[in-house]
Amino acid sequence: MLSKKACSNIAFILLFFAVLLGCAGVSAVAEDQDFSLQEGRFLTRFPSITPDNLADGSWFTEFESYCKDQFTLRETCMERYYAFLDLMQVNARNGYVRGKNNHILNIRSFNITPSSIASAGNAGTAQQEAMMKIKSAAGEYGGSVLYMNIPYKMEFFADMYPDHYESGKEVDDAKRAALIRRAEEAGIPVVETYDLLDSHRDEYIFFTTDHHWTVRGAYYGYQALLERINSLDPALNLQYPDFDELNVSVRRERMVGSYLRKWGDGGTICDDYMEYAIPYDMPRYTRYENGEPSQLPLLDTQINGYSAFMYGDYANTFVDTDREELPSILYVGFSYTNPLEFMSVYNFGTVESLDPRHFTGSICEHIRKSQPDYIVIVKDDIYEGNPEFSCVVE
Amino acid sequence: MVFSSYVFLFLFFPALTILYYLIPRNRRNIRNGVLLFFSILFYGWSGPKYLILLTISVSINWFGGILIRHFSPHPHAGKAVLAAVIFCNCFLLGIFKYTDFIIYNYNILFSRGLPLQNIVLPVGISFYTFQGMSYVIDIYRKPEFCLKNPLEVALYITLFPQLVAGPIVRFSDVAEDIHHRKESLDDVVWGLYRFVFGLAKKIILADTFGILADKTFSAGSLTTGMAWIGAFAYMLQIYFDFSGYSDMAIGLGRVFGFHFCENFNYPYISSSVTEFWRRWHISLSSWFRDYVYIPLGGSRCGKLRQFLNLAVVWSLTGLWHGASWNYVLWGVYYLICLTAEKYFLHSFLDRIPFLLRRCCTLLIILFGWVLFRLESMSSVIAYIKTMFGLGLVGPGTAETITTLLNYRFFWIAGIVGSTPLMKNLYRALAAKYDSSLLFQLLRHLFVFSLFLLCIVYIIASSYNAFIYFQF
Repeated sequence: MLSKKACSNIAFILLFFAVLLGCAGVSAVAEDQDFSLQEGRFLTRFPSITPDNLADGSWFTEFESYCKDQFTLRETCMERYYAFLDLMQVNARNGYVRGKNNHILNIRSFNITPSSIASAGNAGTAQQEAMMKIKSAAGEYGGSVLYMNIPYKMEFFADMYPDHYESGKEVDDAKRAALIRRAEEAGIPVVETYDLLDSHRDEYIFFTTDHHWTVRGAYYGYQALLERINSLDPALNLQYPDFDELNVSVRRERMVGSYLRKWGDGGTICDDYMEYAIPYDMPRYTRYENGEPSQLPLLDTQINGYSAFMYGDYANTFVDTDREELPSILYVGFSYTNPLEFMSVYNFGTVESLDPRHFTGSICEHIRKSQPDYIVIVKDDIYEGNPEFSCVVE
Repeated sequence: MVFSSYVFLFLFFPALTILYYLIPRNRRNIRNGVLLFFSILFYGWSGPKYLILLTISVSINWFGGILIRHFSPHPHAGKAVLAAVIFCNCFLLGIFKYTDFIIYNYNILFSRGLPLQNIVLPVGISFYTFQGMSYVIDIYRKPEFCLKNPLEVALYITLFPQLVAGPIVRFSDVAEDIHHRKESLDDVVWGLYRFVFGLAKKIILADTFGILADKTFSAGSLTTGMAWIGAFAYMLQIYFDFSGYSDMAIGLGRVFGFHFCENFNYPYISSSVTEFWRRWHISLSSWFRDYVYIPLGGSRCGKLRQFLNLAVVWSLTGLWHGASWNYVLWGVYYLICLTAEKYFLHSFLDRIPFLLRRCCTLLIILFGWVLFRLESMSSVIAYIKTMFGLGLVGPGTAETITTLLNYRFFWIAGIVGSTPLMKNLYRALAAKYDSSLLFQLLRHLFVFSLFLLCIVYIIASSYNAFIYFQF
């Protein structure tokens, strides 16, 4: 007759190995997964066996990756891992920190000195050169150029950094002022969005787990743009419906934002819903990608993420509403232009965008060819020699 | 294969354990055969071609043992065979570990341009070579323990728990276990407990401190505060990494009835450098003591000769860790500290308060790890200057505070885990409640929960090799 201690020991041993064998067995028979939404990558498949990769041992390394990637409770383990880090109050990881407002924010450099602030105050010469080239190209046919300054999320929530973390506010303020000054020196009207966004600070205007603004944030940015265009040409009087007058739908589903992939998901920070706001009287349109007709929607309410706007980033998007009486607009910028493009379809005859990360060619040449009435340079990314560019400015 | 890998934990270990215990207890040879087979599989998993070298090493030591036993009535012949076998072991180790080091220094010394050979260091060669030498030396001292069966010698040298990262198991310690070990339920549970604690030390603590250490040691510019953070993080990383692995090895050995000696005994509570080396990597320091220092004369000779003996031991200790001058300097660093303690500071140290002695010892160890971690003397000097506020960047108070706060529970666990506090607390509880079933169940529950947490970490975290695999 076994003692109670012996019984408990046997139970422990059996449970220990049952967990190991059970997990391994289920993983072995379960169907392999292709993609991890949380990580945004393809998962390792069973490695092919060759004499070379067996001899040098690389097959065994790949097999290990395959086993971990295809572990049946992998997503659960990832969630529990980050939940454990949340429990241990590891509030900063992989270059990001949890802000006081529960937003994920970039960790700023701790080495901010008077010289780095002064350097930020002198920023913008490269951006100014690009603006002047674009203005010159637009001037050849009478087009107008505007510079739209939109704050980065970390800049906007500078006061939400935890104690002892550097917010970089002085550097950001200096850089923002410098960019605006450069645009004004170049004779380019500035669309300043910070103040308007600030007045709606308590609303859901930036995603918690993503670096982008939400539809509300973009709405306020677009309002600032329309106000500036109307001030330049009062006869236009472009109006976009109030937010309450839009067809607003909400998708109550956790969204995996761009920051969340690096932060990791423990469940304590999330975007748990997404808003879509469409005018009831949205005009009919035809969309083109790189000159070819496209069936891609302007706003897909089935997509739970920023790529719902314009279905993501493309080199050259052109939307024609067949209303020649209305002005045309071209956005030059990265992904922050996407919801602006969507909203612009309501007010403009044609809406076009160039994303320099994917567009190859010359921005100025394209402007000379398409001759939009308004060209909006968005944020501080547009300058010759930007390493993310696939194109040139001139 | 490493103990924290999926393949080992979910496939290798359960398969081996089940197969091993399906074999009747009285079939010791078959059980040994299964262990040997799985040990070879374990080692070959990292690259089958290295099995050839392992086979050569085992063969040399087995045959050497046979010859030593044969020549045991003739001491000179036996000694010659021993010397030859040790030379062969050192030659193998030297070829794979020190060839490029020798070529590099030869080129500098004689202004030559011989090409480096870029020989890949086989995993665990420093460990199993030393184990092989331990075998032949122990056979020389006690020829009656010679193993005629080469498979038993192979089992001793290749036994997977200690094959690739120690502890360096003396043949005399496990000779009895090879033939007459008794596996028991209590030993299996004890072994699993020890394995889980070691796994947790490695996966949860060592890897976390490793992130901090890597960040600071690879930073282009470093603040004073972060330099100290990095040094302490590395100190904790290397302890939990290596002692965690030793715990796993000892635990796994116990599951199969082997009783390996302890390799660490809370070295960071030492009150002197001498004491530190009695608590840190005990198997290596005792190996050098018994097989190099004492045969050279040890302390049973004049002071100058004793110092020379220590110099040899500590140079070899440094060199064992890596084929680089910083490791040799690290060994010399401890030679100086130990010599100073022994000959000049002994009476002074006895007079200073115990806590201050511990703090000073800890600082000496800390600087030793900085020397160990950085490969060039210029980097070491720059790092230590930064630690004392002489770097190019300022104190970095904010970053230091945020790093401490962000990982506060890990720091606390690391500091507490470096002391015998939890062990003493457990012993006090066990002394009172060990017979209680509830206490046993709670103990099982705690270890099982820790085990599940380790699984979570393994699946979720990226792959990370043990530090001591390079040796």
